[in-house]
Amino acid sequence: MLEIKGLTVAYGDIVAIKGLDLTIERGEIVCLLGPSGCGKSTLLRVIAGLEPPRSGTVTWDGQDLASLPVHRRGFGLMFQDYALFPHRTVARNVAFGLEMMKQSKTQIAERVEEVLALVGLDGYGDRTIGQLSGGQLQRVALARSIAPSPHLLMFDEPLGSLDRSLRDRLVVELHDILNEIGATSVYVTHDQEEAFALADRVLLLRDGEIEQIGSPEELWSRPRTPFTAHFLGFRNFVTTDNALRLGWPVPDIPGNHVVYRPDGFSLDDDGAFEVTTKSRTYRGDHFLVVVVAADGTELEVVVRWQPVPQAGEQLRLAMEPSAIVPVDE
Amino acid sequence: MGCSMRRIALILVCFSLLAASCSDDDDQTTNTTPDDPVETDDPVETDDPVETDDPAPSDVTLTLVSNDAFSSVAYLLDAFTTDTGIGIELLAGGDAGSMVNQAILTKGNPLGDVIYGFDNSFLSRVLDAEITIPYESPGASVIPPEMQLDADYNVTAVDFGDVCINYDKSWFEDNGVAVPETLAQLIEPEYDGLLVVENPATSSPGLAFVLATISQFGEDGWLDYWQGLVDNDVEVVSGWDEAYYTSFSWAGGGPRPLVVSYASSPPAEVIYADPPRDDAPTGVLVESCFRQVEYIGILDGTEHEAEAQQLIDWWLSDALQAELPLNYFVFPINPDTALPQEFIDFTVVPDDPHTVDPALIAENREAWLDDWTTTVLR
Amino acid sequence: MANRTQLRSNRWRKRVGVAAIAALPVGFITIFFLYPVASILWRGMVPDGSFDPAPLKRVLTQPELRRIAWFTLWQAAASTLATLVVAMPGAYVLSHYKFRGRSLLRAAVTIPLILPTVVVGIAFLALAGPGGSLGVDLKGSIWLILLAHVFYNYAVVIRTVGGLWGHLDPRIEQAARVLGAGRIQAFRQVTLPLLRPAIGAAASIVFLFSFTSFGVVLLLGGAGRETLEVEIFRQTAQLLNLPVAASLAIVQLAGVFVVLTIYSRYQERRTVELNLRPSSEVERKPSTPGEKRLVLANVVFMAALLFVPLGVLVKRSLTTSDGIGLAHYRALNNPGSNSILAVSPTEALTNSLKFALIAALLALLIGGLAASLVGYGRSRATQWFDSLLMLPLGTSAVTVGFGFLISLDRGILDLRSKEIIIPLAHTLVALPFVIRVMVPIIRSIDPRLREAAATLGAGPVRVWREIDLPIVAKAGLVGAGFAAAVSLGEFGATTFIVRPNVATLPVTIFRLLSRPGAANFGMAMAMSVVLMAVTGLIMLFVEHFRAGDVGSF
Repeated sequence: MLEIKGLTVAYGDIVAIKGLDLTIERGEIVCLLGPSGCGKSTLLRVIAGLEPPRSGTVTWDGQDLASLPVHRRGFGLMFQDYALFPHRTVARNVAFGLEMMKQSKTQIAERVEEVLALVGLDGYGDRTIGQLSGGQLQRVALARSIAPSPHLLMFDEPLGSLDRSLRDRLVVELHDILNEIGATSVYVTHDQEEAFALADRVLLLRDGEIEQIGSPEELWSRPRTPFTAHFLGFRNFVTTDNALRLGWPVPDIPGNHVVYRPDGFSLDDDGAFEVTTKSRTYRGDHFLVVVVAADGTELEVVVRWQPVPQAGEQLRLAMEPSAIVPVDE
Repeated sequence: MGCSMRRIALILVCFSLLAASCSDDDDQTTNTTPDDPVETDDPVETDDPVETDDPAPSDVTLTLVSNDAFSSVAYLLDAFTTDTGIGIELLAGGDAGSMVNQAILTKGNPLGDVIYGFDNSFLSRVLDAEITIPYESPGASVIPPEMQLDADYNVTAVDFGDVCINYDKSWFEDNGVAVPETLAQLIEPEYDGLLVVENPATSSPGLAFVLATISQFGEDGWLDYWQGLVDNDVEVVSGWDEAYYTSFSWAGGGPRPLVVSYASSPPAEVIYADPPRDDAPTGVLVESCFRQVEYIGILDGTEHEAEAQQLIDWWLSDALQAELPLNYFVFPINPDTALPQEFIDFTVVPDDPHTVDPALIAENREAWLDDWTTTVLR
Repeated sequence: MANRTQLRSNRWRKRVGVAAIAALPVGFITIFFLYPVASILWRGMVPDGSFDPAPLKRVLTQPELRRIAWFTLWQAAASTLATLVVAMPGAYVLSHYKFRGRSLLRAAVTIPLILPTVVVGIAFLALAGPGGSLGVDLKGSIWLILLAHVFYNYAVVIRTVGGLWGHLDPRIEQAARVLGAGRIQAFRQVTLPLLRPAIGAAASIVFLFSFTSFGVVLLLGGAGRETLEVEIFRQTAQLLNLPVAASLAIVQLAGVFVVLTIYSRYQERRTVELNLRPSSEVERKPSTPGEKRLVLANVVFMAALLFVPLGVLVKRSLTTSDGIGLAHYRALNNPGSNSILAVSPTEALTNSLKFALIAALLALLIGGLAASLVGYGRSRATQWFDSLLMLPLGTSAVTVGFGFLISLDRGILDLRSKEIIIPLAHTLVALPFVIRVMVPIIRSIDPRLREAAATLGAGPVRVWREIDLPIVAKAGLVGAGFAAAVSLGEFGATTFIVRPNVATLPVTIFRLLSRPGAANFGMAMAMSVVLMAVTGLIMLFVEHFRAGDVGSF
């Protein structure tokens, strides 16, 4: 179990992490999510021991890690852009951690083969790093970090430089592999889809502080702040007061804001939303239509019905209750 | 990191202070060492340097400081070791000037036991600096008195050579020009653009030739003569090899048939001819010759004075003197030593070469060089 | 609290480590450079126990010496500029295009760097001296000096600038082109600024070499052209006027210091992460006719610049009385009685190789440690140290030599009659080369590689061994190769040091050249060609190991 208490990290005057508390259970996969510069990579580097904290503690199973240098922590870290050793072959890269553990040659060879098979790179052991494609590099990096069977596996935007389709495929593979080896994992990304696909819990960081932490479902159904909601891609923020004034529906336990998810609208003569169409754009399987309420509040609406509203057309819309999300602040 | 670097800087300063203090104290240390009572306790360690009166020849190695030129014929000294059992270690000290100056700088803690290879132009500097101790070898009687310029035998003349203008015989034949016979002729129009000389500031023969002109035309007239040479398009180069191997028409294929070189150059051209030849392709202009006498001396501070004296005795003997011409291309100091046939046939030993009093050279060297530079190069 | 104690002990361990690494290079440079130079300057400036400013004042005000200082400065600046202009296209071509014979050419351009000046002087005079085969007499003109300096320093620019250029991400320039920059604009606005650190480094080294030029100026400049170096030599070795010599040396050191300060600032900027790419991503075969012409033109130019003078030497070594033949080479092997060669050329070669090996090992050890200090440290102190290690390149050889004489004369430091003083002097000259090769490599190692190794369980020492060493070792080999080559050709610095009489290749060449006789001259030329060949082989070996590395020189 990884426990972080009151952790502060600073570079000179710039505070990267401010008094952070976090507990990660054994076998749990936690995703650190946030925009670039929020401190998520820094947190990873502190856990790994690459960065000293200014104050606070990091403990593993009750043991304070402060006195344990990076190479004795037994954690794995997969770097952004992989940091593979250019002077070693694929197999020798994967073997590195095992060599450090002073395993026998045959043991190492077996494990390397096993791990390379796990990541789908059987037979690539003798290749040099320069001969591999982006996806293959990523797999080698993964193989290298899991080969020594670390207590804790960390990933620093491991899929960042890959194209979308490859990324989607690798996320699925990664998910399976992580489940198979059952390692405790911390995964840094700025891509919420990646985070939601992998994580047991998602931790959203903002300027070095936890903005919100919870299961993907929790975050999705009840973002605590507009920042979280924004970051998760929500549109149509309206203050609860304004919504009530306009007569729009609000949740049973309302927060300060309400989000009306764009795909929850339907055409309904009794609908609570009296709006005028402002513009429409074609989006493949739907139109995105921007509508304006009487007081100028704008909403984005996903329109899958016909006819698609024209600009200037008056509409009455209804909202599916499940698509109304309260935001606490 | 910044802090630790400051530490390094500190260490660095300590180092240099330490080193500086070492050398300051050293005179005292060397003086006190013999009195050290600990040494007498141990009989094995009595390698006392004072015991030179009773030398065990095979144990002693003399260190000879010489100029670079002589170092290439160091094998000549093997016979000395064979004869006496005294080893010779040769230190090369650059050209004659560098060597003398190095010896002066290390006065009191000399580089070696014997110094050899400086000529009359550096004689006064050596004598004035008092870096050698006197020794009159029994063999010194063979030295012609006009060459042994130091009557106290602080240094001993051991060989000589003449710096003379060499001429390319075939060039003068082919061009129908008469070979010049006097220095004065060289400023005549007939010899315009024919002479290459070395810069006296960087070359020993160059300096010798300047001294020859001073000897010939006097302190009042030599600069006028050089002005005449300049008007006659004299070429000045930095060193002998450049003059001889690039500008001289015979050896360098250059345009100039007159070069400041040595009296021994014509015989060398026969001995090292390729293909072999019977006559010298070059000759010397006798009136231009300046005599360079080379000296040897025992360095003050030597711990092997007796062996050093043995070396000087041997140096004056025919065992070495007879070998000098063909190996080192200088003339033996002993007029009775037989010369190789090439040295009889192809060159001359001028009876009355130019000389300048070494004291005068020491006094005026810098001023003369400055005057020469102003007249010739500016 | 435990945290802080831990940090402090870490810092201490680091300091002890740094001190341990620093001890050898700092000690070496202190004992064999700072102390001797300080001693001779002290002797000159403080003759009777009190500082005498008069000579320094005189040097600074005397028009003659001001003229010399001015000439030294402007010829060095002109040489630097000329070398940069001439060598930049070559650096581009050799770093960007793959063609047959490229590594051979790269090895060959380094040969001049190590040739003894006497030999180069003869080659140039045979070409463009009085009666030279080019038909123009440039002797005594500044042009011949510039030409020789370009010839000597061409490789410095090729190696230093080409080393960086060949690893610049080509997409950066492509981006500029896409944004509408023309070829020249893209070069000036994007590539040139990125290359500036390397250009600055190369320019500083070329400037230092030219600023302290001795033989070239003496031989080719014609009489009357003097650099400070020549005048220091004259004042020290000929006139023993130590106060004036020391004053001049101080002026020279001041100039060198300014250059090194500029250099170190460039070095500082160089540490900007450049996202260097493996050379395989940059270089390609010339494909368009334009590219082919560019490559051809440069190869022809290099051939002309380098091989014509070297060719003259080869030709002269083959020219015998019976026409072209190997007689001089045979004579080398069998000097017989008809020669002043006291040692056989094989013995000279063995001596040379022995010293080269010792110098290479010393330079590798000391230079490796120093490069680690400079490469890993980023503080101001390490930059000063870096400059300090370059200082021997810019210091008059005669100052160092005479300094040795009066400082290294007691106890175990009395090396005046020890053979080791020769490779030690060579090491001093070779050190900057080793350091310049290794520092950029050390700095270019992606820090995340070390972090990756650490997270996989490698301790600091193990990280160094597994990550840094394999990558730096190659650079070290290259540096050692340079050191060996420098040692093989070194003659200048050692002539001013009293040393045991050991015949090396350059010494033997010098001896042969100081005697009349066609046979001696021919053998000197043959010996020079042997020296060139040995150096070329070492450089080829170096080339073999350079492949794919980021490095300069």
